[in-house]
Amino acid sequence: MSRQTDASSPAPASGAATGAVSAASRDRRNWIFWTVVALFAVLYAQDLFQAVTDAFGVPADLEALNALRAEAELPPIAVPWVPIIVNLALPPLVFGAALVISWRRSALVTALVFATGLGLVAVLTLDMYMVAGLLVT
Amino acid sequence: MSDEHEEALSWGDERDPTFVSSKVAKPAKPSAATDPVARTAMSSALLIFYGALAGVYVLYTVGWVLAALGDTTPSVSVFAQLMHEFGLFCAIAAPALWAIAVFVLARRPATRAAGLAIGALVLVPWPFVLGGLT
Repeated sequence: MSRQTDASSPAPASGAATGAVSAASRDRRNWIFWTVVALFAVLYAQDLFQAVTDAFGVPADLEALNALRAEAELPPIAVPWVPIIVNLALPPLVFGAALVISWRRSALVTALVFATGLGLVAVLTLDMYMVAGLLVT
Repeated sequence: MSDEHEEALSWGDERDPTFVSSKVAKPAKPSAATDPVARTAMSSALLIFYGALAGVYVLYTVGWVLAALGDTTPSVSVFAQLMHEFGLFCAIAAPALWAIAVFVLARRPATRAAGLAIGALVLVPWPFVLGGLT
């Protein structure tokens, strides 16, 4: 979209008017772009919130479980830190990558890139849940 | 016969185009981009590659659907349950979104093929593939 407005060569007489129009359309485009980014930022933040909850909840749950296992003279279960840390790192990393890829692109392409990133985060998070399950059992 | 033998034994001169340091311009070799036969063969191979990967992506989608149906992750609240199910929905949609994004963002066939191959590696539905282990 930006290429169309930038490529148009205005006639000298109407140069100022066209410049004002292109600046206005650029502002509008920026506004739409950042709105799309903000909407997806909420969803990525939710993924990060879930990962933070797991980072505190899983060690606490395992600690309680290990106390019971100690009473039964069973060996303690180690906290699966690798999948927990990967899950913490995924949302900000993928969000940053999506922002770089969709920079100066149309709102539709931006939404597509961020939605694909959200799908990637979901896939890898579920993979990490499975890895954590394998490590704990 | 004798001419052929003589030709085979002669080294030619500097005007011979097959001579490495010949000053005569060599005829341009047809490249893959300009040769229509090579281009057709390349696009056929690319179509077969796209078709194979489309099948893989459909299988991944089915794998994620089955993994989501068999998911028994407990949640502490309704909100957590809702967001977990939204994550499962995103995982089901991921292969299709990845394929569309690759075709929208990449223009060169090699880049598209690489993007689709990376997706085929990253989006494997491991919870379904190794479902029996957990």
